[in-house]
Amino acid sequence: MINRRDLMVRGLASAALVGFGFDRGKAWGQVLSPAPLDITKNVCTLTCAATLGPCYYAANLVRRDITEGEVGLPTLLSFLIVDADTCQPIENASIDIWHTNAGGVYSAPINQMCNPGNALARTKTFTRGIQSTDSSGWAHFNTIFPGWYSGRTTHIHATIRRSGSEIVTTQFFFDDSLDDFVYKNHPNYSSRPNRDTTNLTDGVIGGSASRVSPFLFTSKLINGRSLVALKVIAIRSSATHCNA
Amino acid sequence: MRIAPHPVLRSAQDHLLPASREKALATSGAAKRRVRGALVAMLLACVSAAPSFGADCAAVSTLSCSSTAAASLTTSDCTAFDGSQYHLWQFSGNAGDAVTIEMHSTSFDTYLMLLDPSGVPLAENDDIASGVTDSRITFTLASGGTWTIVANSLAASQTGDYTISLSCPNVFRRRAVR
Repeated sequence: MINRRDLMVRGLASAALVGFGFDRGKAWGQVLSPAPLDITKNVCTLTCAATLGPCYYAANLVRRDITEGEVGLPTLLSFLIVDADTCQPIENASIDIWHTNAGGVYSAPINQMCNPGNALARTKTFTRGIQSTDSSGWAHFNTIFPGWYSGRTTHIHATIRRSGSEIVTTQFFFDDSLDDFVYKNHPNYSSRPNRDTTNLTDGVIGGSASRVSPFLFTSKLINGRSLVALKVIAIRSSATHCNA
Repeated sequence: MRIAPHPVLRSAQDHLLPASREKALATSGAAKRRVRGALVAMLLACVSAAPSFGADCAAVSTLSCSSTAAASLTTSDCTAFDGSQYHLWQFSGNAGDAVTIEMHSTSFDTYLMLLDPSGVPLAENDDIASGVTDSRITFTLASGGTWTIVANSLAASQTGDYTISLSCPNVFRRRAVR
């Protein structure tokens, strides 16, 4: 719900809870589950930057389906981009995302640390794409759940642009319990069940739950087979200067 | 529990809905009969079992074009990973069919997902509009087959009565042309 007053109140309440180290999942009595889906969480709170990383590739692929035949947990990523000052949805903002396949490998001819020893992946452009927000501020990608690689928690990279100018480059994360569940149980991931880095231990975003919280997707996993993950991104008309 | 790579939803005819849950609304007599048939076919496989994350929820109802059905989410229904409850509704469609799905409740904040015949989530909606917690998906089907609607509450512990409707305007236009 994009009711500005309500969202501002919720945003302040959320920020206050985060500030006091409130663990929302435990408060709901669902220790093993991610926070309830609530697209209003952190709405209007400016989305801060996180490192671009070495695996970006300017593929310039404007497409909603970014799977390119890669197998994995079918995932719909939905992003709502709003103005951080007015809380109004922003139309025609572009969002450029990139992430790994189920095996934790990036595509494209980029730094070989992104797809070590995988010549085939270097010829592909899977799990990369760009979409523009509609009149309600939404952009969607059909993809698969990203696999993990050593030293990083599971993440989705994103760059937001307006009129071709970069506003913010950042990263988004899933709840640790969701990551663990998928890696241990889904057949496309379970051969590598034990990742070595969680949200709290990640070198880019880790350290505390409150630091991670603004970058978390809210997720719906149905039957363990169909995942929807939503994230509200709040931006300003010029480049963002706050950092994760 | 291990997960199969793709959903194989059981036939809606496998189980029967108790008469107490046959609360159907319809826009026409024919539609009402279809909805009643669909509700009679509602499955309750997950009702008696304690919800567990990732459990295979096989309970499926069918929904026909131009029909509205009423049902009730309870804490014993199928449970998503976030702890919220959901029902699965299926309908048959052809590539190019434009469908609109609406979910309404005065008891809880609704959430809708649409899964293609392979179980891939292609559309979702929380709120129809600012200040309206009902949900609506308007979508043009990319392929023919059996599509699945996930009628869900936004968060855990949100339960109660709801209605769900399916309209497929160009399907009826095509039939009328014949």
